[in-house]
Amino acid sequence: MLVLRADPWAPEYGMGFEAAVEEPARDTLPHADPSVETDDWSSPYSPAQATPEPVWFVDGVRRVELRLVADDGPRRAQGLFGSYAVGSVRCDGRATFDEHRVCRALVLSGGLAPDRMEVPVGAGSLCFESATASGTDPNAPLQRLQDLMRDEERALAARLALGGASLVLVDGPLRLGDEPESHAVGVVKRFVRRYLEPEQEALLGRLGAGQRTPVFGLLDQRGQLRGFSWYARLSELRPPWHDHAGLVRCEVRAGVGVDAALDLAERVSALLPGFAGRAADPRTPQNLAPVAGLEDWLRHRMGNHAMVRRALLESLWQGAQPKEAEG
Amino acid sequence: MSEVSEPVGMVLGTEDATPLSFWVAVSPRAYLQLDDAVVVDTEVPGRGPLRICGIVQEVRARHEGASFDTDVFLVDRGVLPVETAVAAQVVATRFEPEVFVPPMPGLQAFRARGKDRDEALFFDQMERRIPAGLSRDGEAVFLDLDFLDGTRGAHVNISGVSGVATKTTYALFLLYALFHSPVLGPSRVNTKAIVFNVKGEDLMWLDKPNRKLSERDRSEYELLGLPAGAFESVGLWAPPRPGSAAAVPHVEGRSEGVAAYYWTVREFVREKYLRFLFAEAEDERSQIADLVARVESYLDRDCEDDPEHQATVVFGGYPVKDFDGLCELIRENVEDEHSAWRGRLSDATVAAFVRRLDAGRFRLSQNHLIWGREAESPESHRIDWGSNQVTVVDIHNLHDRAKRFVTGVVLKRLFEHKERMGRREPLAFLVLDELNRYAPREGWSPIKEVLLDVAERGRSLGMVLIGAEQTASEVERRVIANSSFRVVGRLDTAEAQRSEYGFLPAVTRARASILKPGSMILQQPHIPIPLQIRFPFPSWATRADEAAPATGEGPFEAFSGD
Repeated sequence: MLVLRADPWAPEYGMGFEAAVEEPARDTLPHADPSVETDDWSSPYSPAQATPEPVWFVDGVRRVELRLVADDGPRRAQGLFGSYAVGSVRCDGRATFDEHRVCRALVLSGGLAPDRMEVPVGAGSLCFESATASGTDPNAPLQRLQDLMRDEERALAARLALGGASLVLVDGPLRLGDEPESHAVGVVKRFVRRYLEPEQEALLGRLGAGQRTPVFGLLDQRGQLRGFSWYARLSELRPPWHDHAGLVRCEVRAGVGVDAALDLAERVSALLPGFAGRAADPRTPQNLAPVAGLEDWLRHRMGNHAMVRRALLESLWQGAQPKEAEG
Repeated sequence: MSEVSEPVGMVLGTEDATPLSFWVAVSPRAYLQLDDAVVVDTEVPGRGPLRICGIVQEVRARHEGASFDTDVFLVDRGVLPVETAVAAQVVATRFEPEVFVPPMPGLQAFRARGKDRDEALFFDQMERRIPAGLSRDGEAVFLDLDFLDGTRGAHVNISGVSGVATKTTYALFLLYALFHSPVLGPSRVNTKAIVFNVKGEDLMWLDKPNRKLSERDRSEYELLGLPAGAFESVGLWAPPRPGSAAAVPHVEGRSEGVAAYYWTVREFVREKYLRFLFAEAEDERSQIADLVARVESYLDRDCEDDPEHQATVVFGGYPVKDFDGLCELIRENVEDEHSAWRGRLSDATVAAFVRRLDAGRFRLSQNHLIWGREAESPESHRIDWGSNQVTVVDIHNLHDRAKRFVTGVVLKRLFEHKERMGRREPLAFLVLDELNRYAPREGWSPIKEVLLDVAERGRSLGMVLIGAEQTASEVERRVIANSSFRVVGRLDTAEAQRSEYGFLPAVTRARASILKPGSMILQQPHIPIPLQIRFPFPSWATRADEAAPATGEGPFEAFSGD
């Protein structure tokens, strides 16, 4: 019988569950080692009640202010003026905005390197730092902006950890590569890739709020252990939802070691339901409430989009076009 | 209280700042409350420095960054980070110099203290000022005597729900402030006030200090520059006790210091008081009113003074010995078809006249207000407002018809007295509650006529009306329109929406329905928006137990030691 069930996200945000249903060739993708914690995937893990501890949430937002076409003699490339902001929220019984940073970049693709650009806006001015995206893909400048934001997020998470933050949750996946060792936990909202075999993944539908799967290892194409990961459910499954709704995947870097990873899995899974996104959030419940608050706040700090855009157009109009680097 | 203004925030830029109204973002370490005076200093290009003064009319606080009502629970649980923003709306009261520009967002705003506060509230421009109460932050609020004594305006009108609005008490506080602050100068001695006591015997103790006054109350009087005590010079008058052969005052609470008042038959005739027997409001000046006027003048013309008694008259050779006799005389003359008294008026009019005459006669006789030959020394029972600063006329025991008679007669006498004097000073104040009864919006009555005269000409004659009523909407518009000061106590919510209270901004109207006893909203000509004030607990007694001597023991305490 055909069964229809809902995905709780607002349609304009896509779907919380976006994994390709048809299984592609396994060897081109990173895959999982499900036996890191246990081989028994028959029942969920129920972490003990979370002991209250300060936790930091780190997130970033970005915005394209103006898209560009850059001509350098015969060479033509796409680009953009972009803004991004990263910040953190400290939750220790009270949720307060902690450190934050607003950055701006002028990104050109095709290897063109612009000069940094100072743009007067109102009584002040904005400084767009120069950035270059390799390749000529039209989306390359946006991807570069996204990377800049991620770099800044990572730097912020690292600074927080250095400053003594015991638990830092970063919104989105970590870059599990040649990263410095850090206890930061990535919280991934969107289910875009299947790491587990169907017999293990069956457990996901049976998770209750605050429960988690066993920790599994994340391996790269060469079979090297890059990180540890687990799924956790934020809120009880409601009747119209499909069984992968309300799940997040958490990951930590391999460098923390198995014991620390298991400990983090316990603590994080237990505390996450308390921070679950508001029911009215378009990406409920995966968009955690502190993160949603932080995103609004950061967006506000990037300034008024229309004002910035107008200032940029005026600046270009007045012939203050970026001087392209010679050779 | 500090004398130096303190910074409290900045003019914010997310709401329009206009010359008349702007919002101030309140800094987290400061606060602004309703009615605080605020100053903003700025520089106008080409015009030099400008100071904008204003008063806080609304304060709001909100979570910034929370989009749903339930977010507050998440904030409380420490899940959702937000910022709390407090902003105050300031209504501008003054521009110095008068350059009407809005304050720029980002300008520093100060809570006005000391000299700055006087400037914001125009107290610096009041040359002769009387304490009008305390602002809610405990500082003195003044009113400008120029607008009370007729120099530039006169009259006070007080509205509010009976029992909670403390209208009479506030009127008396104003009188007390007037008589006990030095502002009246040498003319203070001759300034008089007549107060009608319409409810209970509250005003029959004005001459006694209030022994229940606390130290805090005293310090409030001190702050206002007033002594805390009783009215210095008070005359108390009550109607005679019904059924008593001698003129003994009809009061329950106190036995000494109260005089009984009445009028004589001769005064009734000579001063033309008949009309005040017919003092209910009528649709318009009816034929009865014409008949009353005819009868008054015939009485005056045809009666001679009784050589045997100073209180009575002689008509056609026969003495009119008492009020009943006088009424009979009137009746006979108007019912006589051939009498010149009734003129060409119809039988129906005469019948209506007689019906009312009988009703009035019954009430006046019941309270024994008009005396004939039984009067022993009528001059000592004529209400004498000249010998005391404050004269209280008790009418609370009287029937409605008799109340109107007494009020009408006293008003008329006072007004004629002031008219004869022909100059403003010394001032005479008249405190009258239940204005809606005496000067109703609809209809005509002889008292309303006198009150309108007072309202419109009293300013130049130096006769100041401090009128009060539950509902200003039921009082003659011209009486209220002529009042320089409008005061509002607790108002009924529906009443507060009426156009008579158009001077109250919406927020203030809403506040008027939750005012506590002792708090009033005061609108005065200088200050463009009404201020909420409170006045100190009366330092004069309002009840017998408050009047008991403070030093000795109370009346019953002597027995408790056994």
